[in-house]
Amino acid sequence: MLNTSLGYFNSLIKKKLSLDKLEDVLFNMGFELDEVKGDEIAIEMTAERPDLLCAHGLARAINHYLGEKPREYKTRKSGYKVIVESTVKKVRPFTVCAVVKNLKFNEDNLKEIIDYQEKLHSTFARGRKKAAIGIYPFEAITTPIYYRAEKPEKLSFIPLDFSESMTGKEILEKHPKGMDYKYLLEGCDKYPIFIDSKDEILSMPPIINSAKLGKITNNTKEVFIEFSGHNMETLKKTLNLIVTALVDFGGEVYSMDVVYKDKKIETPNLNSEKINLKKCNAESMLGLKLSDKEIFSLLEKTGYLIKGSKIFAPCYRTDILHEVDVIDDIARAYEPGNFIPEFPQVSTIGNLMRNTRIETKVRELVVGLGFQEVFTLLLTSREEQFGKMRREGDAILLDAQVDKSINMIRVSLLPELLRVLKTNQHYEFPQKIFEVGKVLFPDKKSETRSRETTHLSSVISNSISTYEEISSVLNSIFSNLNVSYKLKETEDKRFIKGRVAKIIVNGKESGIIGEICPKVLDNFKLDNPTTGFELDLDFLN
Amino acid sequence: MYVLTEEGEKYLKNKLPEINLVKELSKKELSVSEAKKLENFNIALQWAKKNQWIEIEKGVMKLTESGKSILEKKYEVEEYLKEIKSGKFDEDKMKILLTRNLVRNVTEKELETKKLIGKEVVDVTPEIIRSGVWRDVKFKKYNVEFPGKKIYPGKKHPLNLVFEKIREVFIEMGFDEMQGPLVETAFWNMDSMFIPQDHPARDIQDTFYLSGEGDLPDKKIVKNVKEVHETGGNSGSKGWNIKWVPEIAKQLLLRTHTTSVTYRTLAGGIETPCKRFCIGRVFRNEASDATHLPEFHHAEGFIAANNLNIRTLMGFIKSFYSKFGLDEVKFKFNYNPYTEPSLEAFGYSEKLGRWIELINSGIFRPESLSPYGIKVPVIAWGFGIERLAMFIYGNKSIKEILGHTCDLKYLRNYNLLKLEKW
Repeated sequence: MLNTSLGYFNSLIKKKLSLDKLEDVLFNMGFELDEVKGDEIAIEMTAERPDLLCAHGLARAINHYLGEKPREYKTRKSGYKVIVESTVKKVRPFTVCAVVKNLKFNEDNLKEIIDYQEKLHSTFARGRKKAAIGIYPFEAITTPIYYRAEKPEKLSFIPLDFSESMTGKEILEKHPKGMDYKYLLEGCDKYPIFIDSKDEILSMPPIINSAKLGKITNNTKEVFIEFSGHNMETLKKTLNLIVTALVDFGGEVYSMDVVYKDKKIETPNLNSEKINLKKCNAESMLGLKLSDKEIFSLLEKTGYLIKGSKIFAPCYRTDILHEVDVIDDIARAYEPGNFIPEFPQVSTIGNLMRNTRIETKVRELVVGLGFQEVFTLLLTSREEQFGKMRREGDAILLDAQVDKSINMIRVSLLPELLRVLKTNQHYEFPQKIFEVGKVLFPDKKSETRSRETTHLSSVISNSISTYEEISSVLNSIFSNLNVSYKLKETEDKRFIKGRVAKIIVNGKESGIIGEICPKVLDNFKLDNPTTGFELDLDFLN
Repeated sequence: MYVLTEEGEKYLKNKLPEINLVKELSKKELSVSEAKKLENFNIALQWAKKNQWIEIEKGVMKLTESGKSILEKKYEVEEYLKEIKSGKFDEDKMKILLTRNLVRNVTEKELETKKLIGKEVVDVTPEIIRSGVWRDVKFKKYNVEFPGKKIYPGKKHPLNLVFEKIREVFIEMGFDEMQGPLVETAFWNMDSMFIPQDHPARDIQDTFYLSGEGDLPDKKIVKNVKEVHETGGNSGSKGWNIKWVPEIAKQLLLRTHTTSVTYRTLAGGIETPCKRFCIGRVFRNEASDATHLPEFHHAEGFIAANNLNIRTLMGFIKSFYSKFGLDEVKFKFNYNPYTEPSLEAFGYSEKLGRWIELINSGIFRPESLSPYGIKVPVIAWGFGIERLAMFIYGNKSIKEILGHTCDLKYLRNYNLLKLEKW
C-alpha cells in the first residue's frame, strides 16, 4: 500500500489528472486506488515492483505511461571511499554505497524517503534480512568511511530515539529495534558497524543508526547511503531504488569506491540493462501483431529506454528475470481493455474422478434419508476431538497457529457434528445432519507423513432417538450401495454401553455406530438423546 | 362377517343368470347363437350345464327334466344369497358363493364405515373407498387456502451445490479432474512453481507449517528446480540468484492453494493438449472473521496447448464467468510469482450493481515449466469458492454456512434455485 497526499502526488505528475482519470491510469497499469480520504490517498501496490513503493517512483511510472520519455540516470565520480574490513565477512559481508548531493528536503519528501526506506525493509529486503538500508547526513561525516565488525560489548554509541550511549549488546537487549531484529545477528561474535574517519559510529546494521550521524533532517543537503547484506547483486539493484528516487527529488548522484580486501568496486551503477526480446515471442504471448515501432513505443510507455533498435531496462527495475517480464510490460502498456478476448479452440474430453462421483452418490443417498448436509472444518482442537469424546489418539498437530482455538487436524467427523448440534440447539427437532469429508492421520511412511481418508458421519438428535433408528439408516445406506456389512457389539466410551457396535465391512473394522453416551452429550452441552455413526468410506474405492 | 358383492346384490334383485336362461327356454327353445344375446350368457350356460338343466343338440338348447322342474322349486344358490342378505351365514354354503364372487368378507372397520352413509366425513379412509361408501357420504370442506406446515427435507450443503456447478462447467468445457494431498511439502506448494525460498508468502503468518520433513520427488526434478531457482537453468531466466536449500523445500505444511495439485500434475508428465481442473480445501494461518476462515476452498484449472496467449486466457475466463451469470467482464494486470503476465478478472454483477473480483489468472512463467520439460504455453486461473458462494447466496458471514458455527435454520431454508439466478 502506498499512502500519500493527493496534492503532493499530483504535484509530481506532469499532466493534470482528475481523480477518476488517475484511477483509470492506475487500473490500466495494474494498480488500484484503494481509498481516498480527504487529501489522503492509498494505492494498492505490490512488493514485486519495489520501484513503485514511493510517490516519486509511482509518479515516474505514471508520467512515462502518459507519454513522458524515460530518462537515463548518471553518476558523477567522487573518489569518496568506503573501506570494507575482513571482519564483516562472517556477519554481513557486503555493502554498496552512494552519495547524493544538492538535495532540498521538506516535510513531504523527507517523510517519503523515510517511509520508502521502511517499506523496502519490510518487503523487498525481507525484514532487513536481504538488505539493510542506511541514509545519513553526509555533511557531518568524514570520509573515508569504514565498514567493520566489532565485539558487541566493545562498540558503543547513542542509538536513534535514545539519549544515552549503549553498547551493541545493550542495543539488542533494550532498544525496541534491537529487540525486533536481534535474530539477524544471533550467534555472531562481532556486530557490523559503519564508522567514519573521526571514529564516530554511523550505525550498527541491520539494527539501528546513531542519533548523531544517522538522522537526516530538513536541513540535510547531502546524504550518504549504504546498503548492507549477503548478496552483492541484490544490493546493487536495491541501492538504485533509493538513489534514483533521490535523483527524482532533484539530487545529484556521486559514486563511491567500495574497497574490499581483494577488489575495489564503484557504486552505484545506474546503467540501464540491455534486453533481448524476440518480437515473435511477444506476439505469440500477447496474441497480437505488432510493428517494431509499436513495440518500442509501448516499451517507452513502461519506462524502457530505446536506443536505435536496442531495448534497455531502467536501472531501478529489480524484477526483470526473463523476457516474459518485458512482454508483461508491453501488455500493460497496450492496456487490458484493448485486448480482444478469444475463446481457446482446444478440444478435449472431460471426466470426473471416480471418488468424486461416488461421494456424490453417497451424499444424495443420505440426503434422501432426510439428513441435512453440513461442512465442518478440518482444523480443530484436541479438546473437541479427544477430550470431550473421552478418547485418545494420534493426530497431525499444528505449530505456531495464529488462531489459538485450533491445534490439530480432525481425525473424526462425529465430534464436529456434535458441535454443530450444540450451536443449533434452539432450532426445531429432530435434527438430522451428516457430513462426507476428509480426516487425516499421521503416517510416517508416506511422502507427506500423512494419510487422508474420506468418512461419512450422520447423527440424529431428538427427544427420542434410538439405536434402532440410526441402525436402520445405516442399513439403508449399505443396501443401496449393495455392500454387505456386519455389526459387532463392542465397548466405546463415546457411546452407551450395550448400545454400540463396530461396523465391519469386508472383514475390516470400518466404523462405529451407537447411542451417544450422556457424559459425551454433557461435554458438548447437548440436552437431547443423540445417536450416530461414523464410517470410513475406503471400502468404496 | 360376509356381505353380498355388487354382483351378488344384482342377482338377488334380478335373479341368477342360469335361472333367467331356464325361464327363457321354458317359453321356447333357443339356438345357441340366439341365447348368446341374453345377459350374462356365459355364466348362465356354465351353471345351467353344471346343474344339468339344459342339453344342446345341433346348436339348439333344450331344458332337461330337472331344468323344467327348477322353476317350481327354490334354487339353493338364490336361497343362500337371501340368507346372507338377512345376516345369517353358513361356512359350507359360503363356499360356492365365494367361488362365484357373490359374497366377500367384511371387517369391523367396514361395518363402521357403513354407518357413515349419509353423514359428513373428515378423513378419507381405505374402507370408505373399498366399500363404496364414498358414494353416499359428504366430505367435510377444508380451508384449502391455508399453507401447509413447514417440514425440512434432507438437503445438500449450499457450497456443495456450487462445487457441483463448477464441476459441471469444467466438464462441459472438456476438463479432466485432478486431486492432490492436503498436507504438502513446501516443494509442491511453492518451490515447484518458482516461488523463491525467501518469498513473504512462505511466512508462518500465512502458512501452517507442520513439524517434520516430507520427501522430495525424484532427483532429476529436484535438480531442475534447484537450478531454475539459483540460475534460471535452461528457462532463459536469471533465476532468483539465491541458494536453493532442500531443507526448506522439505518442510511440511497445509497446502495454501490448489496450485500444488496443478504442479504435481505438470511434473508427473502431461500429454498436450491438456485441460485439467481441481476443487479442494486450502489453508491459511490467519485469524478468522466474517469473510475469512483459516480454511476454505479453491477451484482452479489450466490448459496446456499450442497457440495460447493473453487473449485466449481472457476468452476462456469470459466464458467461464458467463456460466455463472456474469456476462460483463474486465481485466486488470497484477503480479504473481509464478505467472507472467498475470490477470485479475472482474465480473459485473447486475444485482449488486458493482464489479466483483473473483478470478486470478495468468500464463505460467517459463521458470515454472522448464523443470518438467513443458514447452507449450500453459494458461491457468483460480478462485476462492466461498467468496463466489457468498455472492450467490448473499451470506453476511462465512461462519453461517461453514464450520461448527453453521446455522441449521439457514441451511434448512436456503433457496435451492439461487445458483440459477443471483
